[in-house]
Amino acid sequence: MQRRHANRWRLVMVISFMASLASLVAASGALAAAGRPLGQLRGYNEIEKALKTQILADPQFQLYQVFGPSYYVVQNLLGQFESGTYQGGGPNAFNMYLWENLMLQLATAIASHCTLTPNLTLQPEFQQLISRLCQRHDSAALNTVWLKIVGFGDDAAYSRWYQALERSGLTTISAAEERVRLILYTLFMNPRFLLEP
Amino acid sequence: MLEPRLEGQMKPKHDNVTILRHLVVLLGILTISLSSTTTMAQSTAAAPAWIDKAAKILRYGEGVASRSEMATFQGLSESQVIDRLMASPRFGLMVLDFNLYYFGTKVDELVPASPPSQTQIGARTNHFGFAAAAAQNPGALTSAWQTVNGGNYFSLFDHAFSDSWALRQPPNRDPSAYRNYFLQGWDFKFPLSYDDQQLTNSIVDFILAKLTQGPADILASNQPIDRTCLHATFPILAAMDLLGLSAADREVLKARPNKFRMNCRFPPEDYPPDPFNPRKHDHPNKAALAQDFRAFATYLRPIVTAIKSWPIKAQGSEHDYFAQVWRQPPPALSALRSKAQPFFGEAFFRDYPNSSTNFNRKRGAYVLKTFFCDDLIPVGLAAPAAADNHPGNLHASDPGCRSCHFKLDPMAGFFRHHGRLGQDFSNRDTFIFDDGKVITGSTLSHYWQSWLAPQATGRQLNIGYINSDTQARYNTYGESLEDLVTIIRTAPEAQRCLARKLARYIINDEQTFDDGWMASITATLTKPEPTTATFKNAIKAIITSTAFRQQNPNTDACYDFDPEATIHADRPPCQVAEILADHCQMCHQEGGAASGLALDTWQEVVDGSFGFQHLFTEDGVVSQRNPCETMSRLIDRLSTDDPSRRMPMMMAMPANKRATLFLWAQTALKQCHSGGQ
Repeated sequence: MQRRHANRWRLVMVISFMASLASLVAASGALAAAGRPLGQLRGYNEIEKALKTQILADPQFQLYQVFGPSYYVVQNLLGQFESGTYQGGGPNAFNMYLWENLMLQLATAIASHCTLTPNLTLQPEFQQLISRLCQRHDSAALNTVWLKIVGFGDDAAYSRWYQALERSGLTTISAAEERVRLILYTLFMNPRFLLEP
Repeated sequence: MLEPRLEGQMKPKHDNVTILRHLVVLLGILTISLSSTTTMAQSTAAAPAWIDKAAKILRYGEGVASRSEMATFQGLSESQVIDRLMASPRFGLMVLDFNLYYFGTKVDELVPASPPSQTQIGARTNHFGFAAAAAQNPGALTSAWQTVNGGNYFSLFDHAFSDSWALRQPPNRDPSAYRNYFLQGWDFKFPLSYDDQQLTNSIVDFILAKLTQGPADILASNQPIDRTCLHATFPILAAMDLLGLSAADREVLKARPNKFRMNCRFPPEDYPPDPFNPRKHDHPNKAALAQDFRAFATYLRPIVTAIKSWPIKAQGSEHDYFAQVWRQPPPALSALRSKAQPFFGEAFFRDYPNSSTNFNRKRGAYVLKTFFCDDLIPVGLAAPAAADNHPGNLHASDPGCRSCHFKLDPMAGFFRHHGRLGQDFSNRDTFIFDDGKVITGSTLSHYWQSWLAPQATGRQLNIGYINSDTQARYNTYGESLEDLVTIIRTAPEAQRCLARKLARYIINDEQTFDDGWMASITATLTKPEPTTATFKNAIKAIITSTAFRQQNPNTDACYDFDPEATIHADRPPCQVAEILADHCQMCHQEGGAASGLALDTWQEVVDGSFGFQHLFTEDGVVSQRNPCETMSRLIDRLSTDDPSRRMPMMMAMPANKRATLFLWAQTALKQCHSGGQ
């Protein structure tokens, strides 16, 4: 059982990675608002800010906490402003690997709410959504989670993500924590969240 | 009428580039049609994608929180949505973030989530309630604060510089002088810091305690100073002056280890020395010093008390916290906010040093790039007259080098008095550069002469914002930093640069904008007077633009045009259309174009390639020139130093417009040679 989940996880990981790269190719060359390049990683601080704004309750939260202080050291490899210009945001195999590790740990921490041993404090509304997802596969809750994390206005991207989830079989995993963990992981690794649109 | 024929052979092609150009032109026409229905668009419900995108920009990353909030927004017009988003306290963060972008010092996160760790301190980030870049730029902070509190956004420029510690000579020992001396550096660091515990343990307590004890105790003290080392900089410097330590004393002290250095984790050379170590100082007049201390403490104590009483600890949600930050300035300090604060302050002078070889040109280049959006693109100039040569016949007199130096050097002149760490060396017989070199006598005279104007001009100094190398009436001259700030406030080029950066911040950093549209945004931003209302109106115009609505914009295309203009399908490319209209088409217009070149056209000249109509007659046959040759000639006429061939003939073209046109023609020529034209 565990091995089957691991294989699915790897499959989803590959799908996410390829989707990220495809998105990059599509958006290459253009630049985005507030100085961050379009198609590049949104960066360590921007992702951390989005998480704190949208789903986490602890204003003191720092992204590296979910992985360990060592992640703070590689912050500049994950995309950040340095001397007024954005650096390290161009995706490559190494920083995508770092992001995957980080996002998997984050998804694991959030999914720990299923077993009532939470590692992170969530905003009440988001915690309710996670509870619903822990109980059973809930497409309505899933859609709201997408809107909270990714945002409004790209229904096509949501459809693609949701269909990929169903095809991969992640939504049918019976172990609640594992199911929520992997679903959140694919969402965090979705290019609509991780990259500048 | 004779059909034009092609001069030379070109490979026929109907490629994607051609199709794209047609589409861009069509898009332009469509946009103009749409722009006439702006009122209608504003009265209809906004699209979710646009609302979410607008929210993320105006609320500094915070998108629409829930379906119910989205439903609320969808019940509003676009204008109302923007107004509501701007009412968020987080809008102040967006303004601050933009201000830092404007100054070229944008950071990832303006507000650290927690007190800085040792790693962060070591990395010199997040020292304050706001990130260091913001805390060191009180003009940016004040402007943001004013914007969300009903003040004027353009107070951004009220804080350009002042008699801050970095720019003036140390004050005398009149304690009243220290009140401002201290607080100009502190004003925004402490009130906007939110960790009360950090403040309690800060060096402020230490200094206060020591000051109230009197000099004997101070000099006997050997208590180590720890924590918040950077906060200590200003009080330590002021206290050093109060103690009568000179710069030379500091140099001696720097060479010796002390506890202060050991307890801070900055590189030792950055530490101010510990003025409280009795082994390093023995003041000759302890009684006078004691009086100074007590008077000084009297001034300082109520201010620090006010800082500490401010409700700065975050309570409730982050939203509430920011509401507190922006809405509740400490009363005791509010009066001080109207005082000038520097952006030409310590950080500026540290980051852009005046070395004995660059003569302030780094500072001049920063000003041109930051406030005039001038990246100093070298476009050839008319050869300078012998009398106009650079003093000492330095390389700046060479025509090629002069293409930058003609505007860089006069801009650098505004900073000529400021040497090491920005200290003012005017009326001194020595001058110290940041690289440590000391000049005096004839060498110093030569330094000052670098900015003397040629006698024929009638001006004493050649200092100012230079638009034209040949016609002084297009330039704005000045002498002092006050003059420079006035130019930055009022020069049309500077206002346009602010508008352009605002559009780039909101839309994207490399988007091409039509000059006419940019002029309309500039007018919205600054007319009738630059105020917060005009600033918000400009943001509204940008956020409701077509370019902002694009999901994956083509950065080479213009999506918005001057609402007053008539846009023809055969209009030249938008990057240069307005420049050509303003400076070239008077002579080069279809139906009577000088030299057969019609710069008001942009048409398929041969085999799917686009270019200007450029006709020539040979043996009675009228032919179209090869577009590559047209571009080549255009480049030559823009950059030649021969006044008889340089265009526009007998007229001035601002240097930045010439550079834009020149760069565009260069790119077009490159594409032409590679077959892309």
